[in-house]
Amino acid sequence: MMRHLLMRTVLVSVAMVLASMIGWWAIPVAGAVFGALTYRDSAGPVVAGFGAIIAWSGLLMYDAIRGPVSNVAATVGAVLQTKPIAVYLLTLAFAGLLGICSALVSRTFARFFARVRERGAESTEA
Amino acid sequence: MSRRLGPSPVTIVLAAAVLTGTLYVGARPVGGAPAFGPLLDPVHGVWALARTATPPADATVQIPSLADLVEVRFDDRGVPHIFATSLTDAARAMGYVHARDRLFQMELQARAVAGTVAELVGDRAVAVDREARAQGLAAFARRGYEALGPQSAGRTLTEAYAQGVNAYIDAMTDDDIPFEFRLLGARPQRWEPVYTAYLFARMGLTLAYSEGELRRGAIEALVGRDAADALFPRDNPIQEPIQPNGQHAARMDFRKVPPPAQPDSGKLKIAMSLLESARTLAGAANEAQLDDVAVGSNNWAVSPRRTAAGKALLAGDPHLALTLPSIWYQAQIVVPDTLDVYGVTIPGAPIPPIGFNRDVAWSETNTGADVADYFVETVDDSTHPTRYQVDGAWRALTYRVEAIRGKGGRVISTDTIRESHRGSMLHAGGQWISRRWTINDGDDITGPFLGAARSKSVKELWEATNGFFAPAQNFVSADRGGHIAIRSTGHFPIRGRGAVRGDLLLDGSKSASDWQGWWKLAEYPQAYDPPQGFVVSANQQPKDPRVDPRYIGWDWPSPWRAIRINEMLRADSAITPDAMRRIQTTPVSAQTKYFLPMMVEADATGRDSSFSNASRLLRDWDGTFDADNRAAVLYETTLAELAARTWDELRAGGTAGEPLPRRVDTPQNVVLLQLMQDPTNPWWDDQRTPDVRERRDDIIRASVLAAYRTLVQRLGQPGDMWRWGLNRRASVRHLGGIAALGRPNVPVTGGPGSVSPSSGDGNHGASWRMVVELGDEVRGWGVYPGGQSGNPISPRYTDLLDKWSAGTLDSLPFPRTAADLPTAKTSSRLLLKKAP
Repeated sequence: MMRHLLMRTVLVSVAMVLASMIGWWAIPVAGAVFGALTYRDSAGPVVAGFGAIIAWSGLLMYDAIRGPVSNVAATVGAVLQTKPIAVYLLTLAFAGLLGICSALVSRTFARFFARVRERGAESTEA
Repeated sequence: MSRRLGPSPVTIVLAAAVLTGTLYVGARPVGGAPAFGPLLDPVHGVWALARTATPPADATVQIPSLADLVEVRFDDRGVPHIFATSLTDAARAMGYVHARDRLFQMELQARAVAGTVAELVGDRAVAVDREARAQGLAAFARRGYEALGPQSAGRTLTEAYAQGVNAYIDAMTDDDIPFEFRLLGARPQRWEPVYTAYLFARMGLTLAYSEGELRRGAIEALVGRDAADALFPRDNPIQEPIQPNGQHAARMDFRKVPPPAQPDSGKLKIAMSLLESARTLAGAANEAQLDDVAVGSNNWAVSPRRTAAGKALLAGDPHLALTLPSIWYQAQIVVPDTLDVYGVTIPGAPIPPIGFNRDVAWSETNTGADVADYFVETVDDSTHPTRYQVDGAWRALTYRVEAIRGKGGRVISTDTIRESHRGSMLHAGGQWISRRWTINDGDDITGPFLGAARSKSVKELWEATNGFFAPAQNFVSADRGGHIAIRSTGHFPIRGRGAVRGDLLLDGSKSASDWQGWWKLAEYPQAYDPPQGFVVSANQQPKDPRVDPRYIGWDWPSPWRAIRINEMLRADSAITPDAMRRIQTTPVSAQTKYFLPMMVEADATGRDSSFSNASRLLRDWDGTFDADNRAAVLYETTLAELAARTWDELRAGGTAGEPLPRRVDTPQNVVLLQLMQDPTNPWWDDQRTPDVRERRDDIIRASVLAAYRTLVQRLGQPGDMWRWGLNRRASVRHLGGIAALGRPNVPVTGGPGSVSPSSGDGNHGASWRMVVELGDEVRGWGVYPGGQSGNPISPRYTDLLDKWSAGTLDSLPFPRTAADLPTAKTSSRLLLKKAP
């Protein structure tokens, strides 16, 4: 079970990294797709949220290898009148919220349509 | 069943709401914050700037317009050394590297002239745009640019330069978008060649804009013409002119200051209305900027016979607003057998205005001549005029309708700008005033700077800059042949019979008031290898009126900097490059020895203990403005108090609720010093005490006491908190006004009247310090307050600031070929190739 969860988290993180290459807006799209695909899994939205956070953390680490990410945090923090650490947290929270909320909403729709399908099938059988 | 459905409806609604909210703040700016999505995205957002903050060690790019290969080597300070085979390719490369390092600065400055800032930043910039449109700088610059010949440097080089800028913009990825554009949610626009002309027009506005006539009109209405003439004299009471006059010390030409006459309330109302309108245009409507704020530029050159190494030396020290990124960008441009120059360029223009080549070094200060006159026009309709009268005949006014747009291009407002043959018109106080200004004539600025950069001797440099138009500059130069020279170069108007004095409002109804032509070159203030062995300019009056009494201007800054530099050069007959550097940052002010004794001795009774404490501090002071000094702050505060108490008759206007009306203008402290020679002059009388007639020493004593008490209240008893370094700081602001991207509180030495003056809000200062030795191999040193990169994330955004603050200079590498720049000194290499 745990291994299964871990695998899905890794997979969704990779998907989120790829989505980020398109643009930030692809994160909620990926989250929604994941939420819809895993609508039977109650942990799906959380996995999507964590996946987004892990993906952006990884991308930030990649940026950090390539240049002075701390300068970015300090400068953006100064502009937004907040501490640099808050800029990191804000970035990750933004990704996490997009991932979890989009997955949650899409899962609800997916379940709704699944139920409609199930009921349709049941009435056909009846 | 409901359990099978998962989260409750409340959770789902909440999630939908949070998702909607997150998407909204992700896509749209909210409040003052930019849209979070494109900002925080770690791939394409602001974090990407970390990846581009340091350029790659080796890069190759293709530029379609390039004729041949160009190699650019960046040294360890991020300064590009451009090696090209033609001038136009060099200009393309310059445009490319400027765009790479300073794109936001370039666009903002061009927009500031064009009056399109609101399109970039939104409605809050409408007032700025309206001012720019009313000034008409862009319209005049465009006319001037379009009149240039197709083969002129102003055309060919700026067109090539624009190609370089646009090559960078076209190839730019999302990752490369500068930080400020990200905050604004905007993308850079393409660069037009005419924008270079805009930038020079902008420089003209900074250096040559003057509403002096209008200020003087208000002063005259307040205190009468005789007193106004004495307070704001045409000729400075202390003469240490740019063109040497054979003296061995500054000459005091002190005269008696006539008492103030009764105000003429009718004239005053009109004059104040005009002045307020003009100040709104200049964006200078606060008293701090009207005080005798010690700003200014310096340059000087020393003949080989007065230097330790027997080589000519030159120092350049232009003072301007301190901004991040800096107004300057260092670069070397090498085109074999054509050009080999190192200097500071203005991002937006291809050729450095200040610098040195293998034979000559040069630098400029602002001449500050009166090159703008105001004419009161006679119009056919006081509210919506269509015609104006000259010599009894009606002429049609021309119109320009200016539409100011906001983000997205929607029109926010429209203004109608009227023009007479003299220039744009201003409507205030029931009068229509037109302004004739040399800046509006527009001309090729690139050509003279290119000529200077290619010159092989001081004589050639003079020849090359003969056509330099505006704003008039004091070009100091020195060459490897051991010659030194200075010339105030630019177009100085010859005024007509009806307008001998340019410091007064002129009658526009007579053509005799118009300018009749320009001074001849031989009449310009100048000196070539003068016997004294050095030449100095510090914005002081260029010619001694005893040598040439003709009117060239009147608003000359106090000559303290010039006096101090001349003193130091006279005292040293074996000057070294380091001595030149030390002069640039000397903490001594020439003015203190005149004012200080009177401050110390103002209370003969010695009964007041506060005064005794203050007097003791001032008496023990060595007159220097270095960081640890504890009396300098008392001196400066006393001087400000003294000006406020002495010139109380010059207060007028103001708005309800202010404790005192604002001072219309403040005479320079040389005029104050002149007044100090006359202890019973009526100007010393304090207007607030009608029953008492104060004398000089009463006012000085009151000023010392008030300054001391103010400081004790603010800083406590004299001690560590009184240190000059804690009280006087430079403030280097972000060009776009983003406070977090500026650097406030930079320690500086220097104070009022010192060579590197610091006063007011600390936002002005030495924008580039340079020393050049013209030996067999030319050597240069320099620094400016900032760094080469305009990217706030880059380590090169402010890496020169500490050196500037400490008063040290970098040695400037000046390789002849790309291979001559040592590997250890090379930070990166950029190859520009012609696109197939």
